[in-house]
Amino acid sequence: MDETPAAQEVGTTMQQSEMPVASTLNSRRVMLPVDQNEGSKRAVQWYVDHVCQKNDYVLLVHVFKSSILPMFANYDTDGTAMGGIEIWQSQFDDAQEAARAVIEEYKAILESKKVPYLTIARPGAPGQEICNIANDHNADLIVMGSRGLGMLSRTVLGSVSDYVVHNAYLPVTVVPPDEE
Amino acid sequence: MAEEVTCVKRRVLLAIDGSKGSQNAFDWYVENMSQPSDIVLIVHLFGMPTLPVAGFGAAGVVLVDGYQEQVQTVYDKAMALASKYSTICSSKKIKNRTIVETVCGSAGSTICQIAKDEKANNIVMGSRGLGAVRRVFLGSVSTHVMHHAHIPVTIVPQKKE
Repeated sequence: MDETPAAQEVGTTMQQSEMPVASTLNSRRVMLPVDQNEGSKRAVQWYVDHVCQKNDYVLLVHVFKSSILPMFANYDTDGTAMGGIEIWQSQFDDAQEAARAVIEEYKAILESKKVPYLTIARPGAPGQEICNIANDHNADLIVMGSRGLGMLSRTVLGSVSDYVVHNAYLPVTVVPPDEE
Repeated sequence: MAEEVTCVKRRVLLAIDGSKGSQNAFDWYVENMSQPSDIVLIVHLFGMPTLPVAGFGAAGVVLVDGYQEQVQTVYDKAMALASKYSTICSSKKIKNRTIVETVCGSAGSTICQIAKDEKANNIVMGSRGLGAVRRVFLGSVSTHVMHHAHIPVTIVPQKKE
């Protein structure tokens, strides 16, 4: 059995691993949307400690913000754009690299429990993309942290988890921060 | 039931109100999440019937006899509902306990309090209950519990119709 499966989907390219197309009996596709915040780490750790079952297949998802092309467009005197596309491309590459770095930490947690997973890093609006990915990949359950983007301490339920709970038509487990 | 993988003993609070939503959440838990070492806390909250009063002002008379019966009926119904779920759990060899209580004011905060007292690990509940309007995706009790429980809460949505 393949002990360290790692298929990566970044942007629109996707490498296929032997992935079950839909849930089989007693197997679940659990989606873990993560960002770089403490909340995600807590959610992934909680999943691994409390929820993880044999035959689970994890979708480790990170949605990152990417500026719309091209944000900086320098125009020459005769109106031709110069430099815009390259700058956007390098920004996008940096964002992708940062996204991969975020995902790395979580891979270690999953691998320690030998959970098969697929990583997906995609730009876009986090809430919407999470729901889209959940639909596209036939996820059975989403486990996520409650606060991430923004991290206002007075906001109990962050904007992304709030959106996902309201719009994903599948069970969502929201893992709150520890009691302070 | 899923095969045992986790060693952590889980105490799962399942909030039930007799609605299809909570039935759905319960079924989902049993099929997708339950493990042999789980202990399920079946929580059902019911509201006391309002005290009927005949007449007005100082001459008002509280109809005590009828009220006693009403309370008994409501209580019996609540116990029956909780037992129904308890029986289903037991038939699937899931250890369980029923907690039936009256709710004063907020059902959401009562659930959170019970979760705290019983040291639950997580809460599983439906997105809508008996009272909620169809258009509302997340009912008031579920919303409250999500915001105020200090443990993970799993919201199981209504089945698509």
